[in-house]
Amino acid sequence: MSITAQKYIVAVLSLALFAALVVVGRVESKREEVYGGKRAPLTAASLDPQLQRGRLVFVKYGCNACHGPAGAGGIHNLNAETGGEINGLTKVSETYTPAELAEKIRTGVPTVEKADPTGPEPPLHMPAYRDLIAGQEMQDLVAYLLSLGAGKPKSSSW
Amino acid sequence: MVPGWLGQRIPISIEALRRPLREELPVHLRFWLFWLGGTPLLLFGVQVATGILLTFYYVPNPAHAYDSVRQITLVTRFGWLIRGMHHTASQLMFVAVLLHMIRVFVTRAYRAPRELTWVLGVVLFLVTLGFGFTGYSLVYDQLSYWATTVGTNLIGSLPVLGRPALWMLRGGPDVNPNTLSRFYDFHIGVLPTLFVAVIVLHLLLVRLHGVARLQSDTRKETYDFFPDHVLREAAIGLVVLLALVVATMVKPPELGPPANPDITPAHIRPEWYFFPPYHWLKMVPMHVGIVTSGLFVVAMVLWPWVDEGLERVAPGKHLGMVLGIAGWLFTLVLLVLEALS
Repeated sequence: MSITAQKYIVAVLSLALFAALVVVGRVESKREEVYGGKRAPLTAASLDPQLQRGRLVFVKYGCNACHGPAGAGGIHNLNAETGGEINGLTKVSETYTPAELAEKIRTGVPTVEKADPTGPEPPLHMPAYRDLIAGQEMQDLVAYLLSLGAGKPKSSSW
Repeated sequence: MVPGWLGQRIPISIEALRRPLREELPVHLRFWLFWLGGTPLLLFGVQVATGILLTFYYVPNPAHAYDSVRQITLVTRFGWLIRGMHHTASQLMFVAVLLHMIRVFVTRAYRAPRELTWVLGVVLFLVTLGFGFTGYSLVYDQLSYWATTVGTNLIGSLPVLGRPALWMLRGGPDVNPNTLSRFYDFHIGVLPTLFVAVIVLHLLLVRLHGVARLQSDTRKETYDFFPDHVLREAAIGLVVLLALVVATMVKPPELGPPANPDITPAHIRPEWYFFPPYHWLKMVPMHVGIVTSGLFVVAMVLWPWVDEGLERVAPGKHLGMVLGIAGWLFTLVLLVLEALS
């Protein structure tokens, strides 16, 4: 193949790439039309401003450090009666009323019961947040925590 | 010399700059199957560019990672394109690297004195697998989270070094908030540095030795690297970029439900390029699987010498080729079996 022919091929391919990028631009503006300013939210937390604020409170006070991202649990706490792990928070809506939950956050869990009475003291316990979280922050946090179990994704088929 | 002010600061002759462009290449290189070495390099460039753009928005923290990926995919302007191209290019990277490796294998271009070029190539392939694994974990959706859990569990079953390596990778006994930071570090820091260093050595050796001549090809003619070969590489590069953009438009990147350590999905499966070892480990006892997979990698690294040894044992019988093709086919069968399972 001659050099000239090769140059033509490269030129045509460059044009094709340019055309593809133009189409990409069209696709992008189409997406903007469809989704508008606020594009498809996927979780309840991103819909409701209070839940969004609650999520920020959750992260601000480091709740996620022990209870996992989005209260998913799974962080180890050696010899804790809750299966050697800190419990997740995805089921609090089933066991607490908002008032009870707020009280639980205020008092914390000073002593974590041992799974094996002869074993070591579980290293982590929940501090009392009485002096830290109150008012609007407490309301937002409780609303967020109670929303966690809702709309849990089913185990998907992949 | 480079003229003027710049020449005084950078005292290098124009001749020295032109020399690499005038490299004469054997004519068999005109066939497209021999141009595939440049494609992974181009794709690496795409990964660096799109990867940097993704880091503008990605937050490597378990509390925000998923949301930031969702933001990139759904909200950020052209985010879907950038993330899609990054994902598709990673898939294409494996296709390109494997085709390049198969070509080098079939033409036995790894023969002395080019053994180290092959070894460095295998290292690049392994680093690419590392990129795939760590990158996949960053998405932090269910599939990503659980594939990371299962994948790192496998590392933990390695003999002797398994446990410490697992602990170091995860930053603890389980996949936890530390894990994501580490994988992010590996993905955007450690692995790219390693990749660039090895690719420089790989290319340096390719240039120092010149392109390997085909054993079966006795033609003596050559053609120029520039502009003839560069134009061919440019053409294939443009085809690859075009394919990337079109593929991303046709199949934009997906995002599953957010990672949930409480729910183990029914079917955890890695990306297709991990299918062969994954299926093998499911077929045989864990320890046998790990040791044999390790031996397979060692054989790949040492292949030029293995092949030479086999040739010495039975000259003219092409034992190396037979064994190698059997290995490739076996890998392919495992891949297909896992894909169908």
